[in-house]
Amino acid sequence: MEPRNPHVLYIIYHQGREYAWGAAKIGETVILGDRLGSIRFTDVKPFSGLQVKDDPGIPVVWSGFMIMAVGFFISLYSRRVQIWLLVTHREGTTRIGVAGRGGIIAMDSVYNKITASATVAQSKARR
Amino acid sequence: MAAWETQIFSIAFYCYFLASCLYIGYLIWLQGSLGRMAHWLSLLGVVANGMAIALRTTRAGHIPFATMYEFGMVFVFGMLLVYLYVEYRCQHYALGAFVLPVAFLLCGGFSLFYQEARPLMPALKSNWLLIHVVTAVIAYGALAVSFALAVMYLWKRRLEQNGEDGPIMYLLPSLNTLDDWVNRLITLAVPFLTLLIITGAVWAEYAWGSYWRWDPKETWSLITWLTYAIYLHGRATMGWRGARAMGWAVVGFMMVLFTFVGVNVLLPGLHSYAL
Repeated sequence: MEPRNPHVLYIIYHQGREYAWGAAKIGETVILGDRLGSIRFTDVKPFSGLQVKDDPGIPVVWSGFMIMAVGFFISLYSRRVQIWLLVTHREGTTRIGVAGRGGIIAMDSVYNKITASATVAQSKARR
Repeated sequence: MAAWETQIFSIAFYCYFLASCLYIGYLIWLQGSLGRMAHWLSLLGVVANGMAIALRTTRAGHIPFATMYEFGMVFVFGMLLVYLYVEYRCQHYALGAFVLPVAFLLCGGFSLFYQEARPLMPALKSNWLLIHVVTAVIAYGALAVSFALAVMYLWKRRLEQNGEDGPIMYLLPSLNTLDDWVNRLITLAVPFLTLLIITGAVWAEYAWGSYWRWDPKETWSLITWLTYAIYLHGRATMGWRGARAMGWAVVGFMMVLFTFVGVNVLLPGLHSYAL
């Protein structure tokens, strides 16, 4: 099999740290920069590296990843609002206590709905 | 071609800059027309940004996610898309006065890391590149906007504490609206942040033979994730609201920036040839 458009990747290290890297086309001279001169790769010899590995843990790891990912989306994307109502009757008056958790805006709208309907109920009761 | 791509990206950069100025001008002179102009300029910037990405893709022969400059382009693009959505939902041009300067600064910062398009390193030649980086764009884009809105919250709160009562107070969204949006954006981002780490681990297993090696990038992405996990828990169980939650959102984005930029610049590691 002939390689299409072969390049050689080179990395230059300076005192153990990566200094520069690049890709050189075969047969093309690349100028490396200050005082480094230039480089030209003339030919490529194809070879293969083989890695043989047996990992019986893969299904476990994958199911863990799936559960984690799906769990995160479900738990964070479902919008939930919890509301507690405490209704007490005493001496002809009714007190309604509201508590809840959820987004502030969501709670506001819930609170507004409750007070609105309470006002309606009150006016109906008066009539 | 190279010239075209950089020029179109600099058009996006100038659009973001002008839009920032106009959004801020909108808050200073309270002219609705300035806000509308800023809105159209940001749209124009997004279009130019998208075109620069497309040109880069055709020229490099791969999706432009391989270097910091390339990812920066896509990151700002994602951020602006998230912002335009939030602006559309809120109908508040005032938000732009905080979001667009962040976009513009990021744009300028990433331009400093400009590199010519090059063939991909063999380790990056994988379908995971697309998935990994798309999750990063969504997560980081939303977090960048959440940061800007959290800063806006802190600013408005300060104005209120100083007893400011000018017309500007009617232009700014209420503190609760800002708090709610910051929270929504963070909850949007966290599952993607999780996916980002998961896909990174899986890809590392394929490319380098190990899920997790405590490479600086990996460590810092975990720190970022934990920061937002603390935020979510603080909100859910300890009743963090307002300034404390917003402060934490700001800290979280600092972590994102360090993971993304600081690690590349300061800490060499397996990611150093790419992101």
